[in-house]
Parts: sequence; C-alpha cells; structure tokens
Amino acid sequence: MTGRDLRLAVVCSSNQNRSMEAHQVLNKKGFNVRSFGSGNCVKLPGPSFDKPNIYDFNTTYDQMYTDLINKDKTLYTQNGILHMLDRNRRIKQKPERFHDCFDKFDVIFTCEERVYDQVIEELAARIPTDNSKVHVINIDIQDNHEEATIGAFLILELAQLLSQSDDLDNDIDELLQDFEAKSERSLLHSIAFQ
Amino acid sequence: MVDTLTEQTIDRVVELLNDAILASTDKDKVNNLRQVQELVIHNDLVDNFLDEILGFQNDALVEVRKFVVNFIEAACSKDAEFFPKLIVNLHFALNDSSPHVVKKGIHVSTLLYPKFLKWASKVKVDEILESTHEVWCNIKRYIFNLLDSSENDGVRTQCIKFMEMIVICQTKRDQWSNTDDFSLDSMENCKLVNLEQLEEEANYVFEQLLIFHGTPHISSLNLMATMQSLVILARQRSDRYLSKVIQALESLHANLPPTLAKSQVTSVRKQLKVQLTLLLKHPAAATNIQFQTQIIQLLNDLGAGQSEVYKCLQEVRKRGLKVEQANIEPKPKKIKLEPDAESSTREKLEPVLPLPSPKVTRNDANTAIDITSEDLISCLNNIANVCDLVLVSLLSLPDSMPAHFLATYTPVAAAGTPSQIKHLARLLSTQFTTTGIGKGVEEMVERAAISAKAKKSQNSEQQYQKIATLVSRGIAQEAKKQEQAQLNNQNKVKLMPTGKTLSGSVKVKQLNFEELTTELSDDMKVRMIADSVSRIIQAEERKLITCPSQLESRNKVLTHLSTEFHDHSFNVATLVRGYAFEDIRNRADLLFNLVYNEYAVAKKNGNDMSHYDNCLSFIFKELIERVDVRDRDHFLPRFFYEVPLLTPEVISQLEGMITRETSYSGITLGFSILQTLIEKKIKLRPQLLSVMLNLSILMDKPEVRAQAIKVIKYLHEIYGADVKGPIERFSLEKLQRLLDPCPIPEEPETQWTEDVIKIFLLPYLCLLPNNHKLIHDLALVYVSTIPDIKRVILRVLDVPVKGMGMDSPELLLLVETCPKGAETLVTRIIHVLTDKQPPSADLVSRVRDLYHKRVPDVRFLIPVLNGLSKREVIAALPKLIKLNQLVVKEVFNRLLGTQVESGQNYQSPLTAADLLVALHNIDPSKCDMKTVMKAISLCFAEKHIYTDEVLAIVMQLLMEQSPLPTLLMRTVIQSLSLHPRLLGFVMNILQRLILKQVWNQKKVWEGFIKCCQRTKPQSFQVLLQLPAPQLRTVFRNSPDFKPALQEHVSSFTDTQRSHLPQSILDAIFSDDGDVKEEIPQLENNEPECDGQSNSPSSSVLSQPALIPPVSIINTNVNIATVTTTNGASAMET
Repeated sequence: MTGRDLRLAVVCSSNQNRSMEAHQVLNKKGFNVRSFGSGNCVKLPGPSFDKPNIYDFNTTYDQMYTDLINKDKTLYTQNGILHMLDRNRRIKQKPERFHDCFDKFDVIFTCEERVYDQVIEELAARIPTDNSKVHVINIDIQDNHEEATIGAFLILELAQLLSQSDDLDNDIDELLQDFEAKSERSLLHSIAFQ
Repeated sequence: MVDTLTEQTIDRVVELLNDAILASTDKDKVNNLRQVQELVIHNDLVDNFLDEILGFQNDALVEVRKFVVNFIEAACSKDAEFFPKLIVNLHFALNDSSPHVVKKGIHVSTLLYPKFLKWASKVKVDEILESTHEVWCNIKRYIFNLLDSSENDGVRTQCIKFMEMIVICQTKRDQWSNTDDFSLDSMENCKLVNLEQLEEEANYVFEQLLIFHGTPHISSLNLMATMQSLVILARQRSDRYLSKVIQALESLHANLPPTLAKSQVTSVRKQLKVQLTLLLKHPAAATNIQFQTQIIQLLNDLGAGQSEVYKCLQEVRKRGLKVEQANIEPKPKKIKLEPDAESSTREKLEPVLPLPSPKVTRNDANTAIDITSEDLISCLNNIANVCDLVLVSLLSLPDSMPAHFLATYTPVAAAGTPSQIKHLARLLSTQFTTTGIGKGVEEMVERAAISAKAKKSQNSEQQYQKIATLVSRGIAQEAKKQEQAQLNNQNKVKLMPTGKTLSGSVKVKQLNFEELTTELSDDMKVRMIADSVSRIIQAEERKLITCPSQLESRNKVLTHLSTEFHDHSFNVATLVRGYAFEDIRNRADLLFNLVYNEYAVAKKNGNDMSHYDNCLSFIFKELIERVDVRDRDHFLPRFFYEVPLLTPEVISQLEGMITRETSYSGITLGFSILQTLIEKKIKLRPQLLSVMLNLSILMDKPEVRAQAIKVIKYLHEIYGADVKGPIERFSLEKLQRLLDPCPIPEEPETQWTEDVIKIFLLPYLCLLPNNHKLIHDLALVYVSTIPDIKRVILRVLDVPVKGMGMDSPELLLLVETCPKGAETLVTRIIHVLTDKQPPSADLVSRVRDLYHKRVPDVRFLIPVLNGLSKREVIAALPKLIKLNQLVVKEVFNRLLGTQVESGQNYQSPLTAADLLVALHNIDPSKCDMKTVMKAISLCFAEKHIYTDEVLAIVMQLLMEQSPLPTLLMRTVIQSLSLHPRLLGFVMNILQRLILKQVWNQKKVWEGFIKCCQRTKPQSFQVLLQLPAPQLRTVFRNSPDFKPALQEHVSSFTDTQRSHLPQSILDAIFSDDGDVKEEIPQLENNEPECDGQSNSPSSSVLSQPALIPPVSIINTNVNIATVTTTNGASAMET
C-alpha cells in the first residue's frame, strides 16, 4: 500500500469549496482521492450572511447550479459560487456526506477542526470491520476561494510526502512534524480503525 | 463437463503461476497471483496449488509476500480446514524482514484467530488441532512481544489491535456487548482449550495494554490506537474493564507523555475527548454515578462545554430507560469475577502464559492512585494547604501564558465542589504515583513485596501437592502413562510450514548453565563486585538518576551491597563509604542507611557487632578527623544521636576527640554531644557519665575541664539520683584524694601543686551550691590535710559558698558543729558569706554561740559584726584592734559599711562617731595606747566618712566626758590638721577645756599646750584665759610662748589690757626663774595618770607636780612620732 496506492479522502463541511478544490488538485496529480462533507446539509452563501442556501446531500451540483442561476445569476457569478459549482459538477455528480460512506481510506484530510472532530467521532463510533488503519489529518483552511486554493496545494504537498514514504505508519509522525514546521501551520493527526 | 472446466481452470492457474514467477515487477506478479487466488478459491482448487502459491512466500518482493499472507487469510476464511496447513506459514510471515509483511501478518492473524477459535470449538479435538493451537499460542506470544520489541510504529499499532481482538475473543460477553463478535460464550463446549485459561490470558493482555498505554515515551499514534482499543474493550466488556479504562484515561490526562509535540498534544486531547464521550454514552457508565461524574469531570477538563456533556447525557437517557432494568441483575457478577479470575489463574496454567511479572503493574499503580488520592482529598480540604499549593506554584508560573496552554485552557468548572476536589486529588495522585511518592505507592510496594513472598510459598506448595497426587496414582498406572506419553511424542504430528523451499526455522538450543559456565576465581569475583559497585556509584555523576525514588533505591542497593560482602571483600563497604564522604552533605542518608543496615545485619547474625562497630568507627573517625569543620559540626551530632547503638569504641572516639581537640568550638561541640547523649541515652548513661567526669579532671586541659565542670554542674542540677549519685561519688572520691600524700599514687615524687589541688577540688566545689550536705565532707578533709591544700581550699571557697547562701541550713550546721581544726575554714566561709551583704540573724547567733562557747577567737566575730549589738561590738573592740592592721581595717570597713554596695539597706550597730568615741574609751588595761592610736588613725584615713562634721561631733562628745579621754587632744590636733576649718571650733573646745580644768589630766594638758602651740596666734586668746599658775606651766613647757604672748599683750589697748587679771600679766611679764617652781607639780601627776587615768581625783590638782621635764619632752616626741607615722600629711598643715 505504498506510493500512489494511497486511498485519500478530503473532508470539509459542505463538500463544495475546500474539499472540492483539493479533490480537483489531487485528482489532477493522479491520486486516488474522494471528497466529502461532514455537515448535516450543504450550505452555500446566500444573498446575505443569515440567509444561506441550504440543500441536502442528495441535491446534485447541477441542480444547485441551476437553482442559483434562477435565484440571482449576477450575485452568484460575482461571488464565484456558480463558478465553483460548475467546477464541482465536472468532478462528480453530487456532494457526498462522510457519515454515509463506509468505504475504507488510508488517509483522510479534514479542512477545519470542527470537521476533524466530526470525522474522528464518527470513525470512533463505527464498529470496525477489518481493523484497517486510517490516518486523519487536519489542516485548517478558511472557507473562501483563495484560501481553498492555497489549502489544496498544501494538502497536495502533504499527500505527496506521505505517498513517498515506504512505511507510512512508521514515518507519519515525523513527516507531519516536519511539514508543520515548514508550512508553519499546526496539524491535527489521529488514527482510526475501520 | 465439470471436469473439463476444472481442467481448464487448472491450466489457467498453472499459466498464471508461471507468468507470476517470470514477471519482473511486483505489480505484474501480484496481479497474476490475485487471479490465481480468485480461481483457486472459487473453484476449490486450493489444495492443488497450495504449495505452489505458498512458495511465493520466499519471493524477494514485499508485495508478493504480502499477497501470500492475504492468500492465507482468504484460504482460511474460505475453509477453516486449511488452518493446520497454513498456520505455520502465517507464523513465518510474522518473522519477515519487511515491516509491511509483518503488519499484514498481524492484521491477518487478527482476522483469523476468531475464526480459528470458532472452528476449533466445533470440530473434534485431535492431534492436528492441538498442534495448530500450539502454533497459535506461539503466534500470540510472538505478537505480544512485538509490542515491546518492535521499533516500528505501524507494527506496534497492529499489535495493539491484535491484542484488543484477543481480549474480546477470550472473554465472555456482558449485557452491553456486541453480539456479532466472537467471544468466549461461543466456545462453551470446546474441548481444546481451557476457557478459564483463555480468560486469564485476556486479562493479562489487557493489563499489558494498560501498561503500554501508560508508557511515558509512547508515540502519539500508538497512544491513540491504544486509547481506542481500551475504550472499545471498556465498551464491549464494561463489567470487567470500564473502571480500569477510566482510570487509565484519567491518568493519561494528568500525565501526557512528555515527548509529544504541541499539535500532537492537541490531537491526543481531542481523541481523549472523543473516546470519553463514547464512554459517557455507554449504558454501563450511564448507570454508574461515580463513572459518570469521573468522565464528566475529565470532559470538562478537556474543554467540553456543559452543553456538549448535556447532549451526551440526553442521548443516554433516551436509551437509558430500557437499560436500567436489565442492569440490576448482573451487577454483583462484576465483584465476583475478578477474584475468581485471579485465583483460577495460578492453579491451572503454568506453561502457556508468560506469567505477569511480579513488579508493580499498572493495576497496582491504579490502586496506589486510589489510595493516594483518598489521602490527598483530606489534605485539599484544608484551606491552608491549598493556599500553600497555590503560593508555591505561583513561583513557577511563567511570565506569559504559553500559547498551547491558552489554546487548551478551559476554566475549571465547579471549582471547590467536593467532586472537583476529588478529581483534583486524583490528578495530583496520578502524578505522585508516577514519581513514585505518596501513601499509595508505599502501600503498594509493601503489598507487592508481601504477595511476592506469598506467591513463592504458594508455588512450592503446589509443587508439593502435585508430587503427592502423582505418588498416589500408583506406579503401574504411572508407568503406563509414561509409555503412552512417549508414544504420543513419537506420533505427534509435527506441523511443518507448507511450501517447497522453506528455510529451516532456527532451533532453540536448551541452555545448560552448569555446562556452559565455570566458576569465577575469587579474585575475579572481588574485582567484579568492586567494579559493579563503582559503576552504581558513578551512575549519579552521569546524571542517570533523576527522580528521588530511583536515588533512594540506588542507595538501598549500595547499602545492601556494602553489608553483603563483609567476608569476601572489604572494598565494597569502603568504596561506598568513601563515596558518601566525598559529598557528605548530600549523601549523609547513605551513611545512615549503611549504619542501620549494618545494625540490622548484626542483629540477624546473633548480635555480632564487630562489623557494625567497624563501620561506625570508620564513619566517626572520618567525621572527626577528615571532614570539613562546618560539616562536622552538623553531622557529627546527628550521627551520635541517630545511630541505633553507640559502641564503647565510639564513645572512646568521642572522648578522644574532646581530649585532642584544640579549638574551643571543637571542644564545645564534643561536650554538647556528650551532654545530649547523657541526657538521651539512658542505657549508656553510666559509661558516658564516667567519660564526662574523667574529662573534668583532665590534667593540662583547663578548657576541657572548665566545660566538663559546667556540664556536670548542669546535669547535677537537672537530673535525679541516677545522675547525681555517680557525680557526687566521683567528686567526693576526688576530694578524698587530697588526703593522699601525693596526687598520683603511682608516682610518689609528684607534689601537690596549686593547680593539681584545684583540679581535684573543682568537681566537688561545683556541686556544693546544689547539694549543701556535701560541705561537711570538705570540713573533714580540710581538718586532716596539709597546710598547702588548706590554703588552696580557702582560696577557692568563694564561689561555691556564695552559691549556697547564708540561709543554707547545712552551712549553718557546719558553723554550729565546726570540727576541731576547721575553724579557719568556717571563718573563711562566714567571711565569704558576709562579704557583700549583712549577716542574717541565724548566722549571727550561730557565730556568737561558737565564739562564746567553743572558740573564743575574736576573728569569728568580724564577719558578723554588723549583726551584733552595739554593746557587743564595743566589748569586742579592744580585741579586734589588736589584730593585724589589715584585719582592723577590714573590721572598720564592715562597721562603717564601706564594703557594702550602695543601695542596700544597711544598719551598722555603730555610727562612725560612735566608733571613734568607743575607740577613745577603750580601757587602757585591755589594750595599749599605741594600738588604740593606730586604730584611731585608721579612722582618720577614711576621710569621706570622718568629715569635719563627724569629727566635730566626736570632739564634742569626747569633751563632754569626764574624765576626759587621754587621746582627746591628739584627736583634736589631728582633726585640726586635717580640717583647718575646724580652727574656731577647736578654740571653743580649748576654752571649754580650761573650764574643765584641763590641767588636771596631765596627758590632756600636754596635748592642750601642744594644741595651743599649733594654733597660735589664735590660741593666745585661749592662753590668756588660763589661770596664772597654769600659764606659767605653759611658758615653762614651751618657752617660746612667753615672748610671743608678751608681744601680743603689748599690742593690746589699755582697755583690753585692763580686762586681764594682774596675775596673768605678772606671769607674762615675769622672769624666767618662775618656771622651776612648777616642775614638781608635774612630777606628782605622772604616777596617777598611769595608775587610774580615767578617774583623776581633784586632789591631784593641788599636789605639786614632780615629773621631770625630760619625761614630758619624751611624751611629746612620742606623740609626734606616732602622728607622723600615721599620717604625715595630716600633721604638716
């Protein structure tokens, strides 16, 4: 299970911006990657801060796209939401909720501490089937387009580091600490069994 | 049809296998092999190709070897019958050089073991199954060992998971367990294995996990993995493990591994929080208030808000209702389970398991934490303690808040509530226990020691029982059995790893120690011992030892070693002692340990104190001679006071130190030690006391003697008969020595010098103020000793007698019963007593009695003069003034009170004037005039007492007497010469003397003339008042008066002259021939004066004086000489 065979997952809260950005980048670099949201529903910015657009995880990106175009095309073009949804629908059909996915991964990246909490909580609550390990790593990324881009590259860099390791389980502690020092970001890391 | 299909498949498989062998990349190989696996397993062809496939286990490529492990899993899962065939290969995989294969191997083992158990519980037990089980046992053991021995994080993580599985599989379910998992419940009718044995193994494995969880240098990944496993176990087997797991998590929270990086700490805390939340939601925790509060407290500490906790609790409550009823029954089971498990273990499984080591386990540590925290709760309830803690910790507070603290800090919820205090106590206690201090640790260590002992005895007992049963079975049966066993061994299937080219497994050769080793030579042994000890000693320098408990145990080791090798090598003890003395300040404890251990050993060896004595002597020798003075001053007393037993050798060392020591402080130290020892060590008191006493008469060491005397005096004052007795006996004995002809009986030529005498006297004298009775012994000795010693005794009596005081009944008794020959002594004593204060009535009466009844020596009276009545004093005066001039002076001092310090209320029986008057009135028959004159002049010497006023009074008093005292005029002249101011008063006196017909008393008359001579010209007026005959006598005695008086009268006016009677004028202006007429008059008076001077009859006056002028001149000269000798200055005015 060395190198490019790593099964990666990127999780943010709505599986729209940060996780999808990373999903795209990793995908391009040939990683086996999937992306998820950890929230109960998918939230997109609305006309004002307190009026977000809320969808459930069954709504496809395409549906959201058309919905928003109908609502306020200029607004959602301007704030880049439409562009983002457009990108997303090219990657996959619809957002996925982490809690509904029982596939196995080797490394799960989370984009926010809250998401990390939700993920490890979920994983801890599951009953493991074959006790295969998964590393859960959190990199804090603010939920905006620019940060998402930067964050995606950080995740890529980290994924490359991890994939180059011959014995990930043994090296990961050190890799992460080096990465923390280099990127001047603090990471969270845990292990879970699935 | 089927056959052809199978054949096709077989062909395909063969082809694939060949491809796989030829393939160069791991991907291709694995791809081919995967296809083979698919085909083989789906078509039940495993048996056909088993060897071929397993042959790949020796492939150079890791992925291929991993595949083989996967294949084993697939095959065994498909059909458990493959276990016997594949199990050895699985075991083999665990020994692989690549960690990936090992991990896979463990992973597969984790998956297969439950399957194996399931299978094993169903099939018939035969040899093959047993052998398979045996290999499983080896695998288990191997993996358990890996947890500690592997360097690879991932491998360890897999081990943890494996162990978790073992615990789940080998324990019974409880009511909350997941029923899907395999568990011991499904093995009820298994013949292969002993269920209790398995359960015990599970407990052991759980313990191991707990221990691993608490390892201080665990990596964050392992830690989180273990944490999760423990929580899974706690949830699945809550009855057994929940409480222990909560404890473990709690102690983890209090003691996060120090090696974790900052972000790792955050991760671990998060994980901890998640796991605790899971536990909180577990019904077993929900139904136990204690667990619940414990968990909630921890969660609060980890930053979980009230709402979060509340949410959890809500969730639990929703499920809770149905849960609670089910809960009631199985509860007592939990209590029963543990002892059961424990007791069953030891009996039934000897070989299978590595027995838990007897050292303190995690479990014990938890108990220790419990005990310590109980202990701490009470401490924390004391406000003062809490304040102290806060104040102390303020000192180590950093200036600014560290970032990670800020990040993780949550305000303490419910501070000060009992539950919070309890929690805090637990946190503290966890830390205490980790450092190895606290009540709990002590108790557990004790318990561990006891249980280790018990276990030992138990084991031997079991063995004994076993032997007994064996014997009872009968020999025949036994023989038969043995035969069978032999057969069994021969027939026993030896499972071999499947596969073609297996490298032989390493055979373990049984070690036979006796064969392998030869005994070391004694030299070698000694050297090795010495080397090891010095290595232990050096451990401190190398900073290997950090925590106090380690240091303590090291000291213990050193101590025991040093007593262990007495008979073999002296190096050890000397080494250790030498080491301790290098830095005695920090290593004094080690020395104490040594001493105590030696003592214990000596006690054990039937009170053979020689080693103890040696050790102690060495230590004291070092302390006294080598150690720096300051350290010596500190440690020497400590050692003396605290060692278990002081041997005579050591006491003599102390004595030697005092004797040899030259510095004052050293001597003082020695004495303070000796004194304290006398006071504290009751048993040794006689020896110690005699040392002290001997020091008090040590020749050539005045300083030592002085200190010894001081201490002896103190001891004598404070303590009872057991101390007083020997001291008194000793000092009396020394006192008696004064009766010997020489101070040292062995050397007859030595002399009693003053110093020697004092040395023998001092111990005795210092006791006198405390025990007055002793004084009588002194008197006895005094009487019979030589004069030299007497003198010394008299001289040294001062202080002790003053210390006794004059009210001492014993002293009074001595005065009363003064032995013959001791009068000087008694006098001296009385003197000393009254030296600075007036004598008491008691004393006075005793002395008076003595004086009157037994020893009429007036000197007795001197000290008590002031206590006598005026009459008595005056009566004694003649005798007194006859004494030595100095004594007389002393007497006067006493009478006049000059020696008494001012401020004391002092009443002399005689006033100064009284004294002088009394002196004048002394009967000449009792005392000659010369002595009286000396005495009087002594009075005049006291100018500050005999002022002009006093003298005037004296003269007045004397003059009023009749007859006039002989020495009156002498005193008048002397007074006048001392105080010229008295001139007028003297003139007055002279005139009044004329009225008293002074010429009737010859001496006085002579004095009168002399006085007139001295006081001319003022005396002319007086002379003129004399009757003419007397005037003529004056002229005759001192002819120079006549011309002077003629001149004086010539200067008178006529009127003045007319007042003079003619006879006077005639006398003045007459011829010198008149003088001769008067001579016989004077001659006549002389004898009367000698016979009864105090009562000259008036008839004498008319008788002609017959004394020749020469004698008069003689007397005059006499007076003059006396006065000049007494006070030249006084006469010159």
